[in-house]
Amino acid sequence: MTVVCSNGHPSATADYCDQCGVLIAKVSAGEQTEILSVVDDDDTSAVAPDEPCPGCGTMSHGDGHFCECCGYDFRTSSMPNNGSSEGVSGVAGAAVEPVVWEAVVRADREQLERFGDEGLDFPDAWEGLTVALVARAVRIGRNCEQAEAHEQKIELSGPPLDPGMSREHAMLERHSDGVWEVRDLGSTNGTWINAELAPLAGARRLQDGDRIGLGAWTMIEIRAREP
Amino acid sequence: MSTFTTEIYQNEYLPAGGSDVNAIVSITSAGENGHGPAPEAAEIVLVDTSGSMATSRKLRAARTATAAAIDCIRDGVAFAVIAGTHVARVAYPPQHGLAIASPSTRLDAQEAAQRLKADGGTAIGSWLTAAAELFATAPGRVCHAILLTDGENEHESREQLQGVLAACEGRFQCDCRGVGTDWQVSELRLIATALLGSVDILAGADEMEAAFRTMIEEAMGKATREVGLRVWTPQGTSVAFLRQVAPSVTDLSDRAVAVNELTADYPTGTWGVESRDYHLCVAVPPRELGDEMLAARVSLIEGEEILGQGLVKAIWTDDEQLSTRINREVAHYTGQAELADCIQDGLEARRAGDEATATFKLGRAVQLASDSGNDATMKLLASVVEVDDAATGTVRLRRSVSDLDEMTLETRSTKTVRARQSQ
Repeated sequence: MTVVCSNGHPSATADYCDQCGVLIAKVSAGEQTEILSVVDDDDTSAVAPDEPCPGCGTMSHGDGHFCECCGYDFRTSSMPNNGSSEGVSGVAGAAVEPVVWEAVVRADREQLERFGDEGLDFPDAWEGLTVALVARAVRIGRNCEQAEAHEQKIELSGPPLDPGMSREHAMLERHSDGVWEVRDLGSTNGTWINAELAPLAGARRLQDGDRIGLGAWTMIEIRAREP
Repeated sequence: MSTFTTEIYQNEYLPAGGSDVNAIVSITSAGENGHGPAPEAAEIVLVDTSGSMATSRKLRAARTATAAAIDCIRDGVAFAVIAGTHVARVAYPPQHGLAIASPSTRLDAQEAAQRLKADGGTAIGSWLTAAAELFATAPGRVCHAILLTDGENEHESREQLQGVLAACEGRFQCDCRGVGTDWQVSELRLIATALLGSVDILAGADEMEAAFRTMIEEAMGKATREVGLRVWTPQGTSVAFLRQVAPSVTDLSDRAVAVNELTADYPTGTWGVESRDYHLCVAVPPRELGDEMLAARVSLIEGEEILGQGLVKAIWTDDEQLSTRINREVAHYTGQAELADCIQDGLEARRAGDEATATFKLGRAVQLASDSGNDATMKLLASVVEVDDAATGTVRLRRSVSDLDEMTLETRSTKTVRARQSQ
């Protein structure tokens, strides 16, 4: 399994980047299910939301593939494998079919058109970066100083610097059912979702492949990928 | 195959601008045979039979001690006895190569040991070369030797010995014992360090037998092949030092073998049922407040198999309560390493007639030994200095100190006591 750290390095280890050492995801027995257990929209759960989870008895287990509390797998009716050792294997063992969510950041001409300032320099040469989404909350902006400890940051401070990007621009959050949502953090120039301007208040649910436009030319595609 | 547990003790919080990450890696081997039998072993006894061994009943004791060592070699182990003078002579077996231990070969070897004669000089490098050649006839075995000498290496230069050691490194381990006071501590320490073994002093001939038994029994208890510490550190960082700190201080920093740009292996030899502690210091460029990074991933490896792993972290914080917290284990072993240095520096100054430096260094050693509860070292220090006040390190050099006391202190200066483990 390869994940991509917040500095853009591909890493064979999922807890800390095996190039630069930056924290990717907290890995410990209790937190394993926090990381990669993600639910497909199409999944039909074996346990209705109003029944207690067979694993831990909690009611607030969500209606997804895995119990939010103990990691019980509703489809296979099994507890997560916590017996595996620390590190990469522990992460992989958390979910039967783990999915890695990524944010693919690119410079996009369509976004530039929507932004409507043709006089700007478009960074043709920039190949962009891919960031693995490893926290439940991911803050995007030029300089996310207000990020809290549990949040992952995607700081797009350049080069190339997008002049339309706000310091704290948008927030990606994983909903309790495993679905990602995006919300604008009161940015100056707004946030687009698939060419549509996001509302100023509230969050929008995202699907695999949705494209978020920010600033003058930044486009972030949210992708689910088999690890 | 053995079962290992790896624990890391550190304060991962660094102040703004902090760049030194210190951690104690504590490794315990339970020695259980989890995956099949212990690897096959080879054992060579290297016993000094130079002319000086003829005095003080040493030769007779060496014969008895060699016989006792042979007694402890278990069936199936390949073994030999080398009698060392200015040349190496294989005392047993008579044919080329190693013998396989059995009741009858052990008896033959013990008879050969009784016929050992003392005569000639001392060239330890030639003994080690002969051992390496014999071990080479038993490929795939875990090789260990014990070496006994009573005098200093006369027939070769330090450079020659270093050349031999470079050739022997990684091929076998060697525990060294010096008997009496005519041998050089620095010489045996050089050999033991290169060959991942221990060094100790035997006061007289009567201590040889027990020492030989203990060394062979320990060697027979090893349940692993060569085990290494694999240390990964991130881009832009470097390992400032890695040293073993318990049961004794040995610097491993210059033993690094690069695996790739970010990873190096350090040899630790074979493991029985035992615990060892290592002090790792990684120099990292400071990062932003609130950033967390992995400063090192320390894995224990046997071949390419990972036996255990520990993570050394760094988190930058402006919370002084967190960043100034002193980790007890790191502080303890920093003190133990300084203790060893102080003793060695103090004794050297004393020999050079620099009483002021000797008094200061040995005084500091007394303070450190007292603080850390290292009673064994404290006792040895008290034979060299008169302790007025251990807490402040106020001492006076003793006028007359026996060679044996001084050499015992020097030899055992690297022995440490374990930190009282906190959780």
